[in-house]
Amino acid sequence: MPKKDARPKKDSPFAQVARRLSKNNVAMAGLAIILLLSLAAILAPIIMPYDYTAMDMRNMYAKPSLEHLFGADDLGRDIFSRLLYGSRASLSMGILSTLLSTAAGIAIGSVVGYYGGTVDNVIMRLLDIIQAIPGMLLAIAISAALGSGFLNTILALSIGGVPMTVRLLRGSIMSLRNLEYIEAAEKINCSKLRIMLFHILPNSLAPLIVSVTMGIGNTILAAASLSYIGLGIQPPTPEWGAMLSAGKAVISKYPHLCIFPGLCIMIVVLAFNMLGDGLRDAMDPKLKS
Amino acid sequence: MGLFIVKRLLWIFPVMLGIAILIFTIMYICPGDPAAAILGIGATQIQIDQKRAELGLNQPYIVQLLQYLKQVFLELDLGTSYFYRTPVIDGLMSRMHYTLILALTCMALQILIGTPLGIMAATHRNGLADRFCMIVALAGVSIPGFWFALMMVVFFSVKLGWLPTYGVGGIQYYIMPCIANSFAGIATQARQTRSSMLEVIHSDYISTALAKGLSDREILFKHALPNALIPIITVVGNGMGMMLGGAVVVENVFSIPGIGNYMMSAINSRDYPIVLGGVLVLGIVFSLIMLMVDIIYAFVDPRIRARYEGKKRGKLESA
Repeated sequence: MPKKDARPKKDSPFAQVARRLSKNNVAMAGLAIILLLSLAAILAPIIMPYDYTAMDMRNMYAKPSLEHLFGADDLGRDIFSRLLYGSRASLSMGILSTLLSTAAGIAIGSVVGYYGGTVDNVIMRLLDIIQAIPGMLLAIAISAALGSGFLNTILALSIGGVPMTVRLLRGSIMSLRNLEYIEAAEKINCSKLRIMLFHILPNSLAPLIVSVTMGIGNTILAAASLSYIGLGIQPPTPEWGAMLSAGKAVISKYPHLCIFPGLCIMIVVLAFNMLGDGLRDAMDPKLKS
Repeated sequence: MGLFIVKRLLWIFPVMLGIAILIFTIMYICPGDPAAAILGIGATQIQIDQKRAELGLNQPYIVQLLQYLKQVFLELDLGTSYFYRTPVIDGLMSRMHYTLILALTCMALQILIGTPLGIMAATHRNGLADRFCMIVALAGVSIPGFWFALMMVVFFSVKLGWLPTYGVGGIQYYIMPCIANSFAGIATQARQTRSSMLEVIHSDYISTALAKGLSDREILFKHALPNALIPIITVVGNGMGMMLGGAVVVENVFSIPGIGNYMMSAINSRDYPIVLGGVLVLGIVFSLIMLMVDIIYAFVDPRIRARYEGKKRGKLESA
């Protein structure tokens, strides 16, 4: 049965955010790029003009042309097709490891907020330890130990992001805990878990969504860096960072091997940053005024 | 304040212990055998087993861990490289200055270029300067540093022949690595400075200062900037972490023989003592920088200072 609401009809907070966001051209452009690239990644096997593994010795190092849009690499493989297929690895590594670290951060953050006291102290000190290593260094060390590969890289990239999410959530739990509506929920005997899941978490979502959006961009960048220095994803699997690394040896003669993978990374990260900026402005209108 | 610094310095110790245990454990569970890596492909199983015994790798996990911790924290010895057979600490120290020069120069660039850009953007809100700064900043946080470095090599070294492609030497060798490594930091700094300045500029006391007829300069540097500083300083601290991590990647691009390259080659040969030692040493450097950031907070913000000086006044803010 739909609930009756006597108050004058007002947009939900999320509808308001969506409305403000849709007026932000930069953010919408970012969103459009992300959607377009995701679609391209999903449809990659269908739309790529060549098989990404097909070698063609006549076209070794071919310059960009109508036949090979972005040229061909050292084995004559079509760079455009490889970039298209490579977007699957790059995008999914960025998205999955950000989601993984955020999920872990929410779980730990809720536990910390739920119990407080000693648990809070111990867990926060443990997180301090993780944060005492620069993020990229931690990712390098972990993926060095685990070895290269898709899942290992996701794991390596996500661990460093956990403390930030926990801090974010913990901060908003602390600021919400003393508000009247939480007190009211406690008075009507809501369980702590219910308060956490249905009353606190939804109200902490705004900063989390912004941090996830920005985080995906940064993680894609970090994943490409890892692959570039020889960790992360390794050839022959097409991945943007790995393609860059492979092109490095011949960069002075055939710069197109490096230019296009780098442009791809930049455009994706730029798109996530543009959307993230827009989301932050839309969710925090007082900064915008 | 002195007590606070001592406390924070002592806190580095358990943090390093935690890092050592964490990285050691990850290295232990991982696949790949250092003994096999040292001996190469032709080694027989017997040789590998002998090597493992020699390196103490056949001991149970807890024994190996405790031995390592005892060696590092009680004897202050980071161990001996499996591969080079030289003490890890010597290897790190002889390479340290390359990494530090790179990271510290980048940090200086970040502060000296990023902050003014952010202030300029905030004071010229929505104007041409703001647009320009923010486009540069957005590009800065989005461009992969190693790619930017490669593109600079193509342009400035290969095409124009102005700068050396890789290696170390005079100041000209540091120009491209520093630009590549600091671009993201400069951009982050500019973005943070802009948004915290904007937040402050809308405060009532700025309007009051305006109404008093103070000059823009005075308002900016006496009233707005000091109050906007805390988040700006935080970004400086985080930036240092970014520079240290980024240095590893940029060293790889320009073949700078710093700690990053030392660690990368160690990773490939499964030379654990070097990897562990490198992470620990860079972790200590980073922790010291973060301590400095905390001390600077206290100097900038009287509220934080009051808390450390033991006055109960600070209690409200900390709650």
